[in-house]
Amino acid sequence: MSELVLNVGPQHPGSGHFRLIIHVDGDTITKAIPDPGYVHRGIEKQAEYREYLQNIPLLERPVISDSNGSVYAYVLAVERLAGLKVPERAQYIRVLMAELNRMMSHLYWLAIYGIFLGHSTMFMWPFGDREVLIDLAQRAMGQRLTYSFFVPGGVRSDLPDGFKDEALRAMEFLGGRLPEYDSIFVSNPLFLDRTRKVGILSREDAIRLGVVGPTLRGSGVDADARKDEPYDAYDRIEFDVATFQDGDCYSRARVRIEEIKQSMRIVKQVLESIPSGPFRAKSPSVLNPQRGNVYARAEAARGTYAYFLTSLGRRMPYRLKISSPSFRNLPAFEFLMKGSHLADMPTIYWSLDYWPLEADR
Amino acid sequence: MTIAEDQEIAKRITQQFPDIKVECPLPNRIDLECPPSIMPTLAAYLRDVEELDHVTSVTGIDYPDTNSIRVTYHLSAYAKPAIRRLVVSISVNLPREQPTMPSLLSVWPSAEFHERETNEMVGVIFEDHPNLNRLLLPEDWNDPPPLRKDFKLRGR
Repeated sequence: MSELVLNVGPQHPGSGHFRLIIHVDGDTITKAIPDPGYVHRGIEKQAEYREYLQNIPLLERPVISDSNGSVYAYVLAVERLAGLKVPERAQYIRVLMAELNRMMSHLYWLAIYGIFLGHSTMFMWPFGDREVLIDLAQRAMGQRLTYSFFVPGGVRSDLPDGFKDEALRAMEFLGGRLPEYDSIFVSNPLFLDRTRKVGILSREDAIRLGVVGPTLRGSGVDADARKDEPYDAYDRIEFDVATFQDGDCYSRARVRIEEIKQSMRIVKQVLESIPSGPFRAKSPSVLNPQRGNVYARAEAARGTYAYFLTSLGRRMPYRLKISSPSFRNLPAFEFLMKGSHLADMPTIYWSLDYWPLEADR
Repeated sequence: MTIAEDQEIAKRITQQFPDIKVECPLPNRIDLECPPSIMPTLAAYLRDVEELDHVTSVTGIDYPDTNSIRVTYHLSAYAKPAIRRLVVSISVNLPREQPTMPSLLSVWPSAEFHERETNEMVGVIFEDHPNLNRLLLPEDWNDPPPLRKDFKLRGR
């Protein structure tokens, strides 16, 4: 049969702008070429024209579903270069907010996975439930999605009064919802049929392609920056790295569901054990970090987010390289789609939780 | 988990490659600097002996003052849990007019997209890379590579 070339996107329903060029023979994909760049905004270049603090709102823009996770490593990098010590309370608040964001991002992913697989109830539920977390975030950080809350030396403000009770109530609510998601979607025979043994990424291939985050952990590699190189309060908190062995779309989905549970566990621990004290170290409003390079990483919702920051001792960074999880997961598209059915394309696509803005920067 | 362990690895690398510069500026970080011609041998050694199995980023930095472009690969390990804490970097300095270096794609397939990005953003040419087409920039981009310092943002 003759080969047909299909363009998927760049206006893709569900996740922004990204093109996949797919070659099909019958309904079998013979080649898939990812073509990112439709939402490239030159963030690395723009960062060279802004002061260290001014960069925070800029850097969280690409990943509004997980803005704390995406600036976390930047803030760590600046702190290391400027020699700032973060007060203990601030470390706990940052862990709390990063996990809150991770849950929000995974709920968003779950909702979109519902719509990708034609399950409209699964689209509605997590989106509605996510609002509970957004309200909580708004109470503490003043915004729904883009917080600019993490700053070098700590966070912008302390937790509001009564936050602990509200947060515990939200966790209790979410904890009650997860079994419902499970019975309607994750354990649904249709979901199992469409995700099991589909888009299999073996452990060896995952390592070879250098993928990150739930995509990696769904292939049985328990790497997680929170454990591998603990930052802030993560070394004082108990949690497990969610890992599943099969490497298929189902494994990747299970990893994210399990991570929501682990995030809830972390949030509860933080709320119980958060020490009192200052929420931000004293630091000048215009930072002038010393000359040097620093590479810092943090585990965001989609995987390890890393920044390579070069300073010449001026008010602005000389160069800021962003290594984002979606960009690092790009090779998986090419690899997983090849040989699979065209009908499985959306299943594989969203099992990678690809966020075009994060990849393009 | 200690600086001593980092230094042991650094010492091992120095014994194998006496000519390269090795530094451990912070815990869990080892920075190497070498001439471009040694890159493939050093990379193969780091993959096979030190078990650094993937590339996490490739950065090109333009230094017009010294007329050079510095390319840095950041490497890390997945398969061996004990060294997942490490981030090892290899840097090379290339002349600005002719920034050419061997591609490390054959050593680490995970470098593919990172090298493509560095190619279009900084103008570094990776020899033997099978596909150095535009990745993030528009297909008809004709200006200099945007992350070179002589590319200025307007109004800033």
